Amino acid sequence: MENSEIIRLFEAYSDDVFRLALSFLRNRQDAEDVCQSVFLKLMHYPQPLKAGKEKAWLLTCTANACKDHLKSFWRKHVVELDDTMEFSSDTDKTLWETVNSLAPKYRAVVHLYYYEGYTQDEIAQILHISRTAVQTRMSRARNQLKEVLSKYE
Amino acid sequence: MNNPYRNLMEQKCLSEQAKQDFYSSLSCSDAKKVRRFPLKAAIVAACILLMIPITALAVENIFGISVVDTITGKMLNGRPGIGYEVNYPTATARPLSDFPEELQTLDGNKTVTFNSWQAAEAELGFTLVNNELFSSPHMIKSTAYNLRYDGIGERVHCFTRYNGKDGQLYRATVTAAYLYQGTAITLQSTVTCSHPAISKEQEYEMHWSGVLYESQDVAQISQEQYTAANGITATIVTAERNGNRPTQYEAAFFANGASYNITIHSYDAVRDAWTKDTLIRILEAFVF
Repeated sequence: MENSEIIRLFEAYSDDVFRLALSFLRNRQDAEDVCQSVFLKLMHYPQPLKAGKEKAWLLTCTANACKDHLKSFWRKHVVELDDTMEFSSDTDKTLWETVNSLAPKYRAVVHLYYYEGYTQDEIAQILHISRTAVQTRMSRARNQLKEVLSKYE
Repeated sequence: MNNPYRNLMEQKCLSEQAKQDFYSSLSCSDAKKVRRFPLKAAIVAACILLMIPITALAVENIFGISVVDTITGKMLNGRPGIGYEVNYPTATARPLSDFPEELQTLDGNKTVTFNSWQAAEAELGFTLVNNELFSSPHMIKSTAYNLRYDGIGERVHCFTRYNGKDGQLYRATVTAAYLYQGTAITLQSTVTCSHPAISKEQEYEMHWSGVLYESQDVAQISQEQYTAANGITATIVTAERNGNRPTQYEAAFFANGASYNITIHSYDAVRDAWTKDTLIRILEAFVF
């Protein structure tokens, strides 16, 4: 793919890719690394992405890269200190910590549903899982969030 | 659709530094773009690919050795209680002056690759491992790590990850991979130094070691304490794998101002007893 096209996609979607990676990895440095690697992969992609499907393709690619990253020996042994996150309020901080207490597969579904606004069918396509799996994960995530949030009340 | 989570995530954006890094990586990579493989190279590559399964099959049939590395499916997701974890409440930090001046003032993180563990120690400024087994000619360096997320994009034998904050180093982790008499070994050592912005608890956490295994991958996990004649007391974790897959052993201990982690597995479940024996021999061979 041409560099000009990659830069266009990067400018349009880099924040969305970064946010999904952040929701998976909970670490700014790792999320930025994954974000960069996703866009660099486009260099080896022979043709432009289908119009209208660009964002979904990038998010699928990001989810796969994050899963690989979570499984890597490297991450297993080196969990970075990440206290660089800044929050505008205590409520935001609590919300961030609560969502982060979920397992990565639940966080991803929560992010794609509540942030990106995708439907369950679209989430299933992006994460390569069944619609039933999306429903199950959503339901479990909501239950866990309720449980954790009730402790703050 | 507006909700608190969406409002929160809207505030999280890729940093300007990361954007600039991407643009420079793009221009560097552009210079490296290669032509399509010529036909001759494609034919050679196809022949090599064909030979790999044939050789693997032959090795498996003749020697009964499985050449497929089965270390997969391990993941850490931050949840305690599954798998195991090893902590060192007595871990101590090294003085900053132990490290070379150019490392002392590190701001942010960086990864450096090396051809040998000794080269990593030379940059660090002190010795971490004094163990005759790791200098044995049977201990073969392997290139097990793919550091594509660190912008290095190649498989390496040994690397050091440095972590700095507010213009001061706070941690260095050296990792290397080896093959030794039918086993695959990874050796990792972490040293920390006192940092005004890092609490004692965080220092202990930096020496934390743990693994969560996916339940379908591992049949049973057990752990035991092993005290070697040289005074090391290591926690040895045994992860028995499902199917006919080799057991993985992991030893962790803290000594001489550094935490150590050794992971070992064989290429054949039949050799599990030998694998554990090798791990014990490695522990016994440490000199501090």
